[in-house]
Amino acid sequence: MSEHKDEKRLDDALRDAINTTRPEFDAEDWKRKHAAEYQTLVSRGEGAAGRVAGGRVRLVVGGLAVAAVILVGVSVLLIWVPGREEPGPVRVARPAVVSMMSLHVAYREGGQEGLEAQLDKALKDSGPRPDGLSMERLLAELGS
Amino acid sequence: MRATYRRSVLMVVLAACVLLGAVGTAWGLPPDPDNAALLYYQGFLSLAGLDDEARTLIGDVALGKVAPDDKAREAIGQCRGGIAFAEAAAEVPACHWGFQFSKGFDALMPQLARARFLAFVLVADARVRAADGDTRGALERCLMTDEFARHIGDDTLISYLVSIAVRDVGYRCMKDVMGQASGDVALLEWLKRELATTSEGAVTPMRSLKIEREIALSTLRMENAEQYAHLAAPGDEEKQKAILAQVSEEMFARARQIYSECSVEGVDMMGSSMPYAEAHVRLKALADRFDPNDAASGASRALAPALGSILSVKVRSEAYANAMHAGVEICLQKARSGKLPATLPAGLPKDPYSGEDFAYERTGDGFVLRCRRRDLDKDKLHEFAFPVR
Repeated sequence: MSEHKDEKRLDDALRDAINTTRPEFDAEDWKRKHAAEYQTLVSRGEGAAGRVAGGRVRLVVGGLAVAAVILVGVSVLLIWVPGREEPGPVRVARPAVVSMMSLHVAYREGGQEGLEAQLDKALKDSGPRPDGLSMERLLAELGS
Repeated sequence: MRATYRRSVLMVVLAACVLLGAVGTAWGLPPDPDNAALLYYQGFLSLAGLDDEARTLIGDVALGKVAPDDKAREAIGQCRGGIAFAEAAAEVPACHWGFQFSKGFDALMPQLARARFLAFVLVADARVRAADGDTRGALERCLMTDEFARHIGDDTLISYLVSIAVRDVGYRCMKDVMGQASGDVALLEWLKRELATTSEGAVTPMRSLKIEREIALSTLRMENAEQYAHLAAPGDEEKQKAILAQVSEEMFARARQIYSECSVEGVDMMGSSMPYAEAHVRLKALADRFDPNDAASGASRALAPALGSILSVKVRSEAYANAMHAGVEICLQKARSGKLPATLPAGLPKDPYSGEDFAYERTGDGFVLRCRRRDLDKDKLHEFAFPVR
């Protein structure tokens, strides 16, 4: 109780000393009196607000971009393994002329004549064979 | 007497030394190959590198289309090495080509093309010998070709087909040449005995069809889908890709079952004593059982051999062999009597197409034996003309 009285007495004393009352700011009056300053303040405030808004957008976009990059990177890592070929179109190798498969197909499509034609082709494709080499000739060539 | 005794002992000792020397030398050498294929492979390597024209000429001479001229003789002469190896191979009973069954339809068979050409060389050489008046030498070459055909064998269906083709080339030449010996009874009796011997080992398609079945069943599996696609759509890569996109192990399992059932039934039919015409119709009907709208059935059909055609090849070969035996007998009768018989002698091998005797007809330059029923694949009546001097 005595503290309260003391505080009130102090407030009164301070009031008397600095001669202030509760401050009251008249904004309209200040605007009129300081029009130029006011305009400056207003323009600065708008730019700052725009900068803040654009920054927020950029922050969001950037975040999305980073997320997208991370997502793509993870996807690539999951799919791609170094050294492994990408699956391409199905490739079917052709059978050799003298394979049983080729001869079978030749017979099925052309009968005995077809089979013999395939054998003729195989003989022709295989090219010439070397002439017979006797032991005598071989030794003579080695000795020369 | 003492001198005579000493001389005898000396002779015995000398003979023993010579004998021991010979035996010792023999023991020192490794034996020659006991696999005829090894000799044939060396023969293939020894064949000359002839151009297309020379190879065609040899083939035409072998088939009797043209008479052997100097060019043909020179080309044949360049193939002496191959002929020599074939002569050695003909003396060896066993022949194993080393076919890689595990590779299935992808297995390579480079020896067949060369075997066929070597056969042409042998028969062309026979024609040259016949043209030079060496009838026995020509017939020996023809018989050697018959042995070669047996050696080509029946490892696979394709081997069997090439074997038959080689045998037929030899028979064609033999048919054309034996008439030159129409006055030589001894030679014809020799030929008759030789023909009887070679016919005992004649190849049939039965073993090759069973092997073919095993190869086909192993092909009808996912791990061999590419092989199957090649056989189902040869040369059509787009269709092969479409097939590969649709196959499944379940489909292949059903295909194997269908194939196996048809193959067993078909091979049994071919091995039976059913008349040719009836067997041919039933084998064709077997092929018609495959349902083209069912994937598994279609897969079986793609790999199934044309059994009706194979039967026709088998029977045609039998007809040729029977005609040769009958022809030798007729030529013998001509050699003994001085003229061709008016009618077909009794007891001769029959026409397998009909099961009856061949139709026999004397012609201006010899005689003809004709089959009485048509070859249902070639749609023709086969006949065998024997020129006789």
